[in-house]
Amino acid sequence: MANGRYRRRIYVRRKVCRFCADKQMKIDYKDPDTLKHFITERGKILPRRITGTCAKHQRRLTTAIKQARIMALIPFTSGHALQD
Amino acid sequence: MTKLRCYETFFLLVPGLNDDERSSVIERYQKIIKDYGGQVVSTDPWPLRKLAYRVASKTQGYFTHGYYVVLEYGSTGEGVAELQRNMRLDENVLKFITIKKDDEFAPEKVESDQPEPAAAQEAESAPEEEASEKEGE
Ligand SMILES: [Zn+2]
Repeated sequence: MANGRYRRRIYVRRKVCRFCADKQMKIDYKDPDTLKHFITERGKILPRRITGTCAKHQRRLTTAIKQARIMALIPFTSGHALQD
Repeated sequence: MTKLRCYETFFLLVPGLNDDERSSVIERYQKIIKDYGGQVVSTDPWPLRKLAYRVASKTQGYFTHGYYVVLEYGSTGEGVAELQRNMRLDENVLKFITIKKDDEFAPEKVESDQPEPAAAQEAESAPEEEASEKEGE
């Protein structure tokens, strides 16, 4: 956690929404591996200006992320997250 | 008869249960759905999984691992209410959430349907673990 602050994830700039580009890609609150691409290391939801997600899919994504947090599939914040 | 809608209940069981105990817990919930005129579409028990954060149980302290189960079914609103009431009272269930996947229940087309996550939602969990997002350091 202490060294995590300085290690930035590399975000590839996307012109199009990933969910529009790939129709096979589903937004599912039970799929933390996909949701993790859309949250920061601290666990905050990434704004769509960074991820390139369209408004419609960003709305569904935020709902899914919040549901996944409630079910303990992804952390609310890094502060209380269990380390791997 | 009351109309059936398509729901999904995703719940978390304590890690201390063996295969038989987990099966009987799941069967009990499947029976509630059927008793209320519903129909179970699929049951997907996940293997033991590490949780993203510690989850408190009312009676058994904290847990770092648990068994998730996905239950997909058609049910009346009364059936869902009864299922949730029982889960709330069950100390083996740490968390649960129910999503309405579709207003219509047609078992043969459930698999292909896009989930509608915003439709309905209810969750139960330990209050201290539900810390709101904190800004800053
Ligand atoms: Zn999109």
